[in-house]
Amino acid sequence: MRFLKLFAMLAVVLSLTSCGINNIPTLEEEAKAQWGQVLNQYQRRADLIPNLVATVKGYAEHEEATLTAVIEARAKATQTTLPADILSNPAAFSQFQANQAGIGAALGKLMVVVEKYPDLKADKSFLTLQAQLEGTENRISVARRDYILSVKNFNTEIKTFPGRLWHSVMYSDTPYMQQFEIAAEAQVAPQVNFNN
Amino acid sequence: MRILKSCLLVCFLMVSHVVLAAPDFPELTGRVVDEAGILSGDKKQNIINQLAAFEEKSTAQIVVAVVNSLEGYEIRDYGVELARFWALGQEGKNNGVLLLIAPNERKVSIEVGYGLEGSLTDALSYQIIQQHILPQFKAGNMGAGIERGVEMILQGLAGEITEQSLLQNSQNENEFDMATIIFIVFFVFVVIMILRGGIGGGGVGTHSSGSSSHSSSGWGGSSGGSSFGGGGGSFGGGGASGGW
Repeated sequence: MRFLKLFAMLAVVLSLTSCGINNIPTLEEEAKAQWGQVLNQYQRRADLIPNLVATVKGYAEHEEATLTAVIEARAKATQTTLPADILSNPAAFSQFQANQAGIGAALGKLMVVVEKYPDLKADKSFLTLQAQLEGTENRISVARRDYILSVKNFNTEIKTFPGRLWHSVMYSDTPYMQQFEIAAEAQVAPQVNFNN
Repeated sequence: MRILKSCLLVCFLMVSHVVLAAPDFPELTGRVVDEAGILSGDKKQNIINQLAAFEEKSTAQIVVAVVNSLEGYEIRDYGVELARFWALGQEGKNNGVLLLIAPNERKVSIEVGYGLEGSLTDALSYQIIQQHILPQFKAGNMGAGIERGVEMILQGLAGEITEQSLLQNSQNENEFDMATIIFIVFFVFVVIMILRGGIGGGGVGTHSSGSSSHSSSGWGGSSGGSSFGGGGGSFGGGGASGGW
């Protein structure tokens, strides 16, 4: 009888893992990892900007305003310290989105402006930077897509049975995660035109 | 006990949900997946041999895919999803590369796994596409463009070329033209001087322009492509694309 009890306990524990008691923390960690990737790629873009601005400046002196806009947008985004709870803090999250979209828009304008400077477009380091920027924008969109998917999984888990149950019983301190808005997505990617 | 039983039953019935809204990807039948059938048998085999040899020595998995349709997706989006779907590269090393060609959309892209982004950078991928693949494609030589692209990707992964060296080459071509003109002017000048009255000898330098070394290095891994499969590598959007 004692054995049977033990066995039953074991079965219960095992079955619990299969019915998703661990899903919430697992999905949460996954979403956080994807968020790290998002930050990483945005940082990569921010790191490209000083070089890009310096290179463009060498050829396009009259575009001071556009260049300043890029520098300011970057400064705004990098100087804002992200709060630890950004993923569950709608205000901070949308601020982050707005800042990054600001950089995207400023870069987009810059890339339109450079069309006027054929010498710049033939410059080796500019070509390299342009390709890097395009690659980084692609990485950002991949990272965002991954994040969107993992947050969707996480939020769905919390909202639906049995995740909802586990959430209220065991993980009530784990809030919903913020999702990127599609509108911002459309603003973020600057139009980098490679077809000369 | 009965309650416990039913509880267990309910628990066991809950299956984990996996939803993947992926496009209808082609099957990974080998190192070269040519849906559109634009590669001749010889070229295809040559590429397969090179890629197999390269995987043997470096474990990096490179696959060439020629697809009939991108199904409305952007090529970079399609490319990264296809590379992930096939899980190219070894797990943990993430050393896969996908050279994706969509002849109908007239688009080409190189997708680079996380682990190879250091050697095959975005800028290098971009230069390979612009300088080596697209000129051939524009001239209608699809097979040659793909061969050239594979060759350059392998050289890039081996660290033999960088975006700087490729850019240097493209600029050297211009400089070579200038050098030729200067040389001709100088030569004419010397000839005139000689004709005018005996200034002896003019050393003639030999010119070596950047040669394109054909390194069709390898057999080695002619292990039947039937058992080829992705190693579990992951992709994060590294690479570049272009159109013609």
